[in-house]
Amino acid sequence: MRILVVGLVLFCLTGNASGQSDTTEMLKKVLSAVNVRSIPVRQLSFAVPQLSTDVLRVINAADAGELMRYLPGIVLRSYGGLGGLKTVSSRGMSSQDNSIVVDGFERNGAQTGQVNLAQIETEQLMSVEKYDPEYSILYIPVSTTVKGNAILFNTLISQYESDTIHISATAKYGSYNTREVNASGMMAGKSQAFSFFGKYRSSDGDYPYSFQNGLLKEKSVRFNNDYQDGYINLGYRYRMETSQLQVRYRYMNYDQGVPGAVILYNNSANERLEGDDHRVELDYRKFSKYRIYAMLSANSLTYTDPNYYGDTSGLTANYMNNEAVLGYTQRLIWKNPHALFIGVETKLNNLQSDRYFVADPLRSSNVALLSYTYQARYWHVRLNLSEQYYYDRIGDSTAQRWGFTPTLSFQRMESEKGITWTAYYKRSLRMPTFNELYYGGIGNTELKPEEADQLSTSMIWRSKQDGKWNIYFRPSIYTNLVKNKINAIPTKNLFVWSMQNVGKVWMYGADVDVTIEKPLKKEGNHMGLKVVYNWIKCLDITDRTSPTYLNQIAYIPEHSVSGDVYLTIRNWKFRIMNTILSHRYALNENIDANLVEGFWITDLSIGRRIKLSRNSQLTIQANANNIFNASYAFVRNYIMPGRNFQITLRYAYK
Amino acid sequence: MIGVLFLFSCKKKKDPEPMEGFSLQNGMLVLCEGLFQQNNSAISWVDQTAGSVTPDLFLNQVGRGLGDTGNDILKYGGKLYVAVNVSSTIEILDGTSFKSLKQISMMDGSNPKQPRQLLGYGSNVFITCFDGYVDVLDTASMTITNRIQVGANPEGIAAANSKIYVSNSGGLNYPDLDSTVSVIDPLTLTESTKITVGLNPGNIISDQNGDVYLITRGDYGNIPAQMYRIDNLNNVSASGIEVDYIVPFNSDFLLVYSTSGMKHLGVYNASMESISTSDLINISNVQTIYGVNYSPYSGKITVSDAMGYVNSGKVYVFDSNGNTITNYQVGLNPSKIIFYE
Repeated sequence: MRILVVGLVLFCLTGNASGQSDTTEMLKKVLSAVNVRSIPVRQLSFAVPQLSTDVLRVINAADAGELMRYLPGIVLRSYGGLGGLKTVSSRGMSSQDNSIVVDGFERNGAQTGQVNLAQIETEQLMSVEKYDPEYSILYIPVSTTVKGNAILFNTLISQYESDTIHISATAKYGSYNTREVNASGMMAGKSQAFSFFGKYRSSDGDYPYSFQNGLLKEKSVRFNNDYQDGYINLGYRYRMETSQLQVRYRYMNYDQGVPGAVILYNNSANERLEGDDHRVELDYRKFSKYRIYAMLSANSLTYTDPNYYGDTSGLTANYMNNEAVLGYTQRLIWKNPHALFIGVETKLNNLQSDRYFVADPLRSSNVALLSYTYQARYWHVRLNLSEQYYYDRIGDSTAQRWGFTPTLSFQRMESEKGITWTAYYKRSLRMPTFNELYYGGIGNTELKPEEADQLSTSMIWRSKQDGKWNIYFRPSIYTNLVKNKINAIPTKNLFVWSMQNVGKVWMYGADVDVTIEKPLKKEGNHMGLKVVYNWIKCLDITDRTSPTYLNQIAYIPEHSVSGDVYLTIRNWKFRIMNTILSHRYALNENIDANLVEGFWITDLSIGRRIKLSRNSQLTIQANANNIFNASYAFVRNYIMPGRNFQITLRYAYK
Repeated sequence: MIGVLFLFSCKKKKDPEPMEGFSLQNGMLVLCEGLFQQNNSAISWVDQTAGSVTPDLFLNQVGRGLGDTGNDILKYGGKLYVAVNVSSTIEILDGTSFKSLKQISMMDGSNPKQPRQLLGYGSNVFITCFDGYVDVLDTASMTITNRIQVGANPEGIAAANSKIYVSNSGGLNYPDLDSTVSVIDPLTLTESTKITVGLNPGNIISDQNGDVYLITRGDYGNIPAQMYRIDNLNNVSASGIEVDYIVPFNSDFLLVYSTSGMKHLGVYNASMESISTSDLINISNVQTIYGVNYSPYSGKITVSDAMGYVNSGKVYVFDSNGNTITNYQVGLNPSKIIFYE
């Protein structure tokens, strides 16, 4: 099968495939029938689990991590504070299984395999959505299609509107001396367009917190939690009649304290992290036909602990990650209702470090994908066959890993009833990261990829848009099996931990995404309710004799709910936002000693839009977070901020 | 409504309920280290009369958590001392009622000293601290009176020949580990000399002949763990045996050692300088051996099983001939045990 996939893809790349010679007329016909997903998914508002620009502005999230609760099946793991590590688990799978895509480029690096969502800017976000296997692969990175799950972020910098000038400036001020200024501009003609975005933010991060220590109520202030970062994004687009070229440069740097967990009776912390990230992205699209994309990135990270007792001068560790990506996707029309897509991507990653790694690893990751689509009046079937090949070189040694991952999805659309049924089977492989393989003393070069099989089915019902009630209802059920799970376990003794393929996890659950909206009499006014509920059993089935057998995996809550109520009247917007997580366990053994209590957080938002002229407006928004001042933590002993406030002023010209 | 339902279905932690009139009798205090940054160190109480276990006696009786990573517990002069490494505290409790007498914050300015192991000697308790010092705690005033500078990341501590021996592991500077033992004069409270032994010295004890035995843990790779002996003239000799633990056992030692990758719990004859019983206890069922303790009162030997370090631990109890008596489920990573028999 491996040979078949690679062979077919190579064959198609030679340019002899019949699909490429189809006429434009034929293309248009097929476009309307075969590939619903080839139009930007954000235009299908109300039909996919995604967040629109308007909603994103009202939520006014400090970072992308705070938005994750709105996506069904996603559970956030936050270590607290501005810039603090935020990762997600999708339907109980690890954060490394989750591809984070910004404007068509994957952000996951080779060193840790995960992305800190606290460092994805939200100001320019146009939409956030969860990737489903029935999506077209045309504008998705090929490496993303083979991941277990993916979240897609689309920002203004990639969404130009012709003949437009757009300028905006925002200032925010909030509790703990949190400050932010950002400005963006876009000037677009018929063919050429330029865009700019710049941002600076900082926070003292010294929030008060309290927690129960036995019979004592401990109160303190978070220490060494300051943060500052800066971003500059520059974009250029050249658009022709049937194609478009985009070039983007993104830069960010950060400097932050690392407070660590709240340790009983010891409030000291001196560690710091600082780093920067440069990336250049090139994206050429022949609309609905093919896409060529390339990316170069270099990021550095320095960790310091001036009081580390292993060395008189303290501890300093430097890491530099370099990445180069080249990818190609193409749509080949076969014959209506059949279509074929191909994709190839090659990626080079190199890590340089002055500590802990015995040598600097270099990885070549290659993915080839063949995607077949069948679209009839009601049915949409997609079969993806992909092959991954990884080649690592570290010092004088080399390693190779292969993996075949098929995906099969069905979709039945009953437009007259507003119902869509979907079901998919997906197999994914998570390749071990540099840290898991080569980190000195812990890494294990013998690791195999983590394997996951997912089965899922959903129903989407959308009410008629008749001006009375607009309802979107999407329940899903699923089951996943993860084998060869990569875990760090002690081997010889407590000092010698090592990464091993030891885990086997069985997940099953359901998630429901409901939006009910009621338009009010005056045009544009409306009120609504959005609820996302997740239920998951994520069970350790590694060893029948283990005390953790059939116990819920650490930090996966059985229930989580996100529930918002909102109201728009004239130029006012109100939103009440609730986040509820049931209890979890800090370790896989589900005993009282490991219990992490559940929580319920309520946030408020109120905004007023003031029209200054035909083209400009001012928005004033106030946010009150955790209004009941709950003491809570996603991760044990990483206590989150109590009640806090933020005021935002935004000027926009268009 | 869904949220309200879940809130009611959520589990809550139980408040500690102190036992009125509690006293430490016919049982074992088991120090359970817990895990780093989890604040879940505990002292389990095994009541041998009732056959019951209180998983976290400290939380129950004191009303607050012990803290993060309890590394050592010592009964000395009617008091109990507990070194809590990451929380950087010394907890002092009454040795009978288990009531808290004092918590000493082991901070040097804003830097945690990270106490590691304890030794009672004269009117003081000596505390190895990972910041490169041995602190001197006056047992009467319950205050730190002195700091003695030693090597990098001191761990084990033992007394012999009117001297105090401290193993400097240098463990935080892996792979550049230390390989010295500091000798402290307990009268002048200064380091009198340093003795070079094997790489990464840790567990250290003394015998009745004034000899000091210690384990060097090597580099966890090519250089294996090994037992060394320092005689009263500071001569150093290596045993050639790959040893994980040594514990006083009457006039000899219990030792956990490895041959051909297999672990054994045997007896080391201190006079003969050799293993006299190769397998006193069959430890093949112990998943993760994490401590061996011996009660000179009842002759019981306990083996602590950390059960993979991330699950509730077990304590297996044997008689002095190695016959199984019973076992108890305790907290996370059980290590040191204080016997009340």
